[in-house]
Amino acid sequence: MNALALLSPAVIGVVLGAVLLVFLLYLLRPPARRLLIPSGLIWDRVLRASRRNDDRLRWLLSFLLAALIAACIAAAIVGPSVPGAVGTNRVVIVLDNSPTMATRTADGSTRFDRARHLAAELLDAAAPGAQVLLADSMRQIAIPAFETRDAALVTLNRLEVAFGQFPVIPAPAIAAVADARYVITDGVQLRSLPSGMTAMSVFEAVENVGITAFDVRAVPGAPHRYQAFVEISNAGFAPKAVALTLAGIGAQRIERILTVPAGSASRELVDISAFDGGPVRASLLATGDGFSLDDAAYGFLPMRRSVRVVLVTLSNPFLQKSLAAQPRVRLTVTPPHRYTEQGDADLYVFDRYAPRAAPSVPALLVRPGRVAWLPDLGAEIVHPQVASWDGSHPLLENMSLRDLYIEKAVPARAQADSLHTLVASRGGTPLVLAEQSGRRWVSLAFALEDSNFALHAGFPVFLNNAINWMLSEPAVRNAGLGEVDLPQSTARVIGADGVEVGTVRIAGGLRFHATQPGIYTAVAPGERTRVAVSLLDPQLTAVNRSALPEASAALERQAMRGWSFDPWTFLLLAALLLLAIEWLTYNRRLTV
Amino acid sequence: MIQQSLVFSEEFLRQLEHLALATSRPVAGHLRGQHRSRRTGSGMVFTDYRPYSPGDDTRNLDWGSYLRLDRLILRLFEEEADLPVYIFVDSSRSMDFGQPSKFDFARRVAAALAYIGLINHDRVSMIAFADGVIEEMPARRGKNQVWRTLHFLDRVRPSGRTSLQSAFRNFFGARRTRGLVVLASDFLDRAGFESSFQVIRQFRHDVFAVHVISPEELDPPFGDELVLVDSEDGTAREVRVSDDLITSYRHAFSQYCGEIEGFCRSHGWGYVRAPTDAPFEQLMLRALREHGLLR
Repeated sequence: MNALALLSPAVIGVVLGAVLLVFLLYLLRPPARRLLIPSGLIWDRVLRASRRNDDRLRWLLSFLLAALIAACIAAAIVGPSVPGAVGTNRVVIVLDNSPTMATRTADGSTRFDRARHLAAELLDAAAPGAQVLLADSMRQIAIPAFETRDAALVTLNRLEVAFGQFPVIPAPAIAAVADARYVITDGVQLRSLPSGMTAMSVFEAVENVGITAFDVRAVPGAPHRYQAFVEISNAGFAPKAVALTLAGIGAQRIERILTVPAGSASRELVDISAFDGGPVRASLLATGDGFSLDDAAYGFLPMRRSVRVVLVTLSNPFLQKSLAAQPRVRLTVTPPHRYTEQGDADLYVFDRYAPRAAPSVPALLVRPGRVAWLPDLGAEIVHPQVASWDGSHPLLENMSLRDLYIEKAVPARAQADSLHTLVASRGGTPLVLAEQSGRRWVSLAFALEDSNFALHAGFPVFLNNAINWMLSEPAVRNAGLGEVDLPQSTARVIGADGVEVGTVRIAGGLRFHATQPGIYTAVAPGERTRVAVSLLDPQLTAVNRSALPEASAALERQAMRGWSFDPWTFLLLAALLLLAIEWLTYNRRLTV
Repeated sequence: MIQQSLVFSEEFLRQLEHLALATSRPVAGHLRGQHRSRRTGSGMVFTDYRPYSPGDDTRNLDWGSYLRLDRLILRLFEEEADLPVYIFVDSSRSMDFGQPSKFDFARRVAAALAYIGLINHDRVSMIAFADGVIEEMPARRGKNQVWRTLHFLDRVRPSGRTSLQSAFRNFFGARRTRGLVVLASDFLDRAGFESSFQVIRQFRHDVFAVHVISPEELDPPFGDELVLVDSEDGTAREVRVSDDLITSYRHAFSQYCGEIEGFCRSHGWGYVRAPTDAPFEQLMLRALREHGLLR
């Protein structure tokens, strides 16, 4: 049954009916008892002095009180709603589902569980006809809108803790015209609220130790040695003993016991040179840890297999030294006139030369000549300007070509669909081409001597990317929890638990949602990409840095009482108050 | 058959026989009695001398003065006369109230006082009044008149409104010997008591007021909403009886009684308040003696 407005004709009718009934009852009151007295002499004296209140006024006062009491009770029974009153018509509830809401509290539930429970109680306490706008700080509800209480309850049950975005109060929740606005949050990331919104805290301080930084990197000057850098932060209130474990893909395992002071961080460098290439997992174990998402972090140790590279060039010290500096490259240099395809080569690098027949292994071609298996070359162009490059391609990952200067180039005419233009000049002239199907090759339209590319800091990165891509070794990406974008437009994403993760296509690739730290694998035709997903956010590890006071059951109950103070409760209280007044006035003989 | 309320025990009657009505002024009785009068005659108390005139009773000549002065001088004595007693019994409807009723109580008082007067050879008149004299018993004297007096009281029934002034004017309109006026009434006269009392006062009677009060008048019933009906004129007034109202009533009643008592005291009259729930014997044997009506 929908609640009736307080001034609706039905409510007014019921109230008037009650008043009329009281009036009739007053008219039907039994007559007063007659008492014979010797003489009215004394009584007349007394009554003359004491009858300051006119009898009619007393009767009227009595009737008014009784009518008010009856009206209040009648209106309370009808259960009207008051426009503009709390808990009646339009209510906004914003649920904070930022990552810190996944923090476990003392009773084992998470802050988000508490928030959801609180929101459900708010919905239960709302008037039957109330319109509720339910929104979340992580925009899981794309377009918040007013809906019925039951529909909002369904929406509420679909909400989960989300990652990858900074939590905000959605604009519709701020702009909506509502009688009351509530934000249920722990106050860690939602630190300030717009005016007119009431914060309901679910914050409860907990112990938490988490990994806030993790990186696997080669030791400078010793490319075959690797170190893992781990930063562990203690967001709790007491020093914490932590067991740090680094685990590789094989049986490698390194354990350390650390003591992290309260409110600070410990940093560790661990030599993991003995680890096989592949995923590396850093995890920690501490007692009473309330936030588990930051207890593990993932990195990727490059594959340790050596790559046999044959450089075919007359002389190119830039290229030769850069290739030799690659950690796992075993380089062989040969002049073009001695070139014959060797059976043990994994990859060829042709410098200003192209063999007549395509090699059976991938090749990197720098300013190749005109051969049949390569696209036809166009005319030489002078000072081509780099207009665009595909930064999402694994070949150009972590690179910038903004300052690339080229004196002259002989661009190919890209014809086949399998050819992908990685770098283009104005007018779309390809400067770097890649063959993606079949045997892979990459072709630069300019010689290194005719450009400053070899002097770029990204040049060794380009070589490494090219080797990895052409050898189809999986690309490695690091990402945080939440939405992860991949350049592949068609790929299946396998989660850390081996289950395929849902993806959505976006402009320039696809997107999946990482809800747990781990190694995710995107499998596309002829290509695999590893995504190491970790939280690694000191702001999130600091789960006790709340802007709100610690929530208590009493406060929550108080908030609930404030919410559930319906008009009928008020009317009933008013009736009780009037009854007390009537009792008082009756005993004081002010009423009849 | 005399009503039980008018029948006294033998012991009480014996005690009454030791009492006599008292008056502070010399009486003006015509017959010999036991009260000092203004006239001189054959009394026992010497008052004065005067020269002998022919016809004077020679028994009162002072022979000693004659021997010393050689003149006939007559001794004068106070003459003792009887006391005219006028007992007014209020028999208005307002007296028919309470348990026992004020009227019965007033009748008992009147009967007892009449008995005392009769056995002391006073001339006792009994007047039943309401808004005038309803019935009057002529002056009687001697103990043998007691039954007639009781029969008179027994015949009277409460009726009518209270009008002290009408009653006094009716009764004292005829010539009455100055004497003792006893008023047994609740004095609930809407016209007020002062003007009525002034009527008696101008005849210079010695007055004693017995103010009969019912306990129900002192403590009116506490109820919810009441319609109070005047027993005399039937007028009704609607009241809600509250603590405050009861307090005001008690105060007003006490003030009214005080006004009557004050008037009596200021004019040398006797006044006694006689609640009907008080022991009757105590009233007669102690209170009335203390207030000077009996001795």
